Amino acid sequence: MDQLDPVIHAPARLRIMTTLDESLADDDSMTFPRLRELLDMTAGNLTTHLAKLEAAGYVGIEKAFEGRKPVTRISLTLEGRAAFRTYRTTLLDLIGGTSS
Amino acid sequence: MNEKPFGNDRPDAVPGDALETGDALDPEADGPLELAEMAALMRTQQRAARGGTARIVSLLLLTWGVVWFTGFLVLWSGVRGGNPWFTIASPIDSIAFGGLMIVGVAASITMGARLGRGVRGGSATSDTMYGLAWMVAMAGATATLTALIGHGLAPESITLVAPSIYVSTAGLMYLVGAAIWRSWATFGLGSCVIAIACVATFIGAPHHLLAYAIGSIVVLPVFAWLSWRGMMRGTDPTRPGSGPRASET
Repeated sequence: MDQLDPVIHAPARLRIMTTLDESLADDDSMTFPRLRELLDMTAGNLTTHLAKLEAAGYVGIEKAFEGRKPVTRISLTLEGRAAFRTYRTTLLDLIGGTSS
Repeated sequence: MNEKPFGNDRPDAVPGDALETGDALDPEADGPLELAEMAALMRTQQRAARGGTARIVSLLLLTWGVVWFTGFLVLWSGVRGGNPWFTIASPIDSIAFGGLMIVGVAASITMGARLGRGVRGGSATSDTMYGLAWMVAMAGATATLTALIGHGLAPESITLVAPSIYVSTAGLMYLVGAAIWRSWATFGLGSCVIAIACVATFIGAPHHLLAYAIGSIVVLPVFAWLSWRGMMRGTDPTRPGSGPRASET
């Protein structure tokens, strides 16, 4: 039986990966507050799950200053997008749905 | 070292507190659901992520449908031989039309700015260029029209050429958008808008203005509804907002 990626196979991380895959092109990044707004998650919860995804190499996290304001940007790595799409296909195959 | 990789741009975060570092939360507490529930969660999130963009595009198309319908109806009511039921005196008709166009442009700028909020990168650059292309195209249309008038374009021709050049340019811009996002529905929108301009011009003055009004209030709300239903999406898998619809996954 195909194995589901345990890094993605958690509700919060699945929601994060789905949102990033839907919202970002390969060379795009999104601010932390915007991602948090899209997911309606607490900052702490989102931070924790992003750290897990970053450790797996699925998301990139870049801290920078825009003027004097610190901004954190989140991107989906190529490896992360491939992992998410494999997860999606596997999950849908397992439940007998149509993969895409 | 207690490294804080991100998150301190949050206004509610106090340096070193549990909320900022996420220390108070156990990521494993968020255990997986049943497979079907996970698939449902993924679809719901997919729809939510796509829905925001689709709703904004839908509202934008609906806004322009109403603006064009009202504006052209006002112009039709201001020209001799136009509206048989009532007349709007000149220059009130032109001022009202101009005011409505300003409302439409303001709505476009406001809603367009919301589309790419918080996103930076290639697709944001592409979206910005597309937005600027609208301004350049419309400015070019205005300059061309001004030049034609300067070269002695007859008043009876101006009334036909002016709306035609603007509406055709709008249609062309939708076609450009269709090519960028590989969206056949958007291609259909651009084609319909150009068809409205052609049909109206063939009808001739003064009822071409009524043709623009009717055409826009029929076509634009239909495509607004398609967008609301998520059917205006492109098929370029490398771009956000593209790819299979939620119902297909």
